[in-house]
Amino acid sequence: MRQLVIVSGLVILSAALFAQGAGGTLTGVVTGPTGAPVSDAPIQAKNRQNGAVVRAATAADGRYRLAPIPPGSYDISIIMPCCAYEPFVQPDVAIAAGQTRQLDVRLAEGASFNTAGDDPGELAAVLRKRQKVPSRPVPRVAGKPDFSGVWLANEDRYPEQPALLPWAAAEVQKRLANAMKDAPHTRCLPQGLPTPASIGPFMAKMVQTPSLLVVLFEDAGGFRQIFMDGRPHPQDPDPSWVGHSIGKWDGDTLIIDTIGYNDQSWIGIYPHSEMLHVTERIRRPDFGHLDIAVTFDDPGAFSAPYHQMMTWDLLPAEEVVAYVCENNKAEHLVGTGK
Amino acid sequence: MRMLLAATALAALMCAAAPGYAHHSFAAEFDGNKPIKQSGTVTKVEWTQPHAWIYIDSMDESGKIVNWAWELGSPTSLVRLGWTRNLLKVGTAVTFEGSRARDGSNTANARSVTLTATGQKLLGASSQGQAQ
Repeated sequence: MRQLVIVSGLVILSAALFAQGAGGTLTGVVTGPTGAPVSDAPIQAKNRQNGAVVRAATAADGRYRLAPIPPGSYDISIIMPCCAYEPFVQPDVAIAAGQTRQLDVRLAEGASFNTAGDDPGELAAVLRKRQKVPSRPVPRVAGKPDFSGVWLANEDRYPEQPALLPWAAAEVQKRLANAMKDAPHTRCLPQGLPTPASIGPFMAKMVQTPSLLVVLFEDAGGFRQIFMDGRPHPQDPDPSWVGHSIGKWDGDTLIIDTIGYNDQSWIGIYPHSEMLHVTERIRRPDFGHLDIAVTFDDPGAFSAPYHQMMTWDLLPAEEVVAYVCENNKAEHLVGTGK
Repeated sequence: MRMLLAATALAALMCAAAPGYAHHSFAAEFDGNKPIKQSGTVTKVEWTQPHAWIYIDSMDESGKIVNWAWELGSPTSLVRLGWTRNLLKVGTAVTFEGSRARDGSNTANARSVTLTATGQKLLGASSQGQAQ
């Protein structure tokens, strides 16, 4: 998936190069709050005029090189996966033809505080390191790819920003201002759509039959059912945290259509209404990965559909476990977090 | 103004894609600018979801023994990272490092735990560094 993104960036780039001649180069080192290099940081230069992007990931020593960049003005951004580092943005960086510019980035401390055992990035790195993923053909059930297995979600490396209606934009500002203290998660309620809490430290397990896909997720101890037996959505589904999902195949891609959400869940930090309609397109390009493209369509909160692209990693050595959120007692909610 | 807008927009991306972390808002509860390092003896272990809590008796500057509550990640995560629920028992001598609560209570958020007996450091920012 990452390769795909870089390739598509290059395609855009080469088209622009053809029009504008030789490009410039942006290079530098990305470090964390302590000065230690940050590897695999997704860095993006987005052209302020035409939206074209050039993307790269930092090497083990934190170095990156974005080149060639067509001359112009760019917004440079690094959005690290939740939550060890704050996002970084440097707007309006001018790149001239043939020029090499240096931009070193020191990422600020993020919301996870590196809490022992609670940083998704740290745990994901440990989990991935100990997996032995065989290289073998994608298994099939009833002629279709079988998604059964234990999976760890990776966030969209270049997250899109939704076009929020004014009330939704105001709500996001409120959530940022109070450090997201009212996130459903803080009250042991499901967090994240369309599959709650599949990002580390949690994982999700899929169990597939020809007519049903079940997704078991750990946090808030829940499940999703995707009906693939041809039934339609109910006329007036009772609103719920995971909605009502039906699936159908387009070749080897499963298209899941979900409605019937309540308006309590958060899409990351974004709010939504009961009008939310989610479409997921799931592929298994190889044994070890799922590519999941999600479209959130909600005329009650967004003025245009909002998209996420995710890659999930197979974790053959792991198992989902029972998880009952029982210990969020008042005595454990500190100060303004209450 | 434009820069301010851009910064606000990007801040909204912070948790754009479904954060799986923290059943508490750490940023609301704890202050990353108030680091604390504290040695003591374990008095109680709450090994329950969504967060493990370890209580220790520690001596303050005046020589008085004070009980502190330290918050860690979920037992599910800790087990996946190689802990067991018996690793820290009542009476174990430890040193915690982390951030103090904003409200000034005897509560803190743990980045790392070191076993006094062996010097073994359990998780935290250091393992984050190694992972990179």
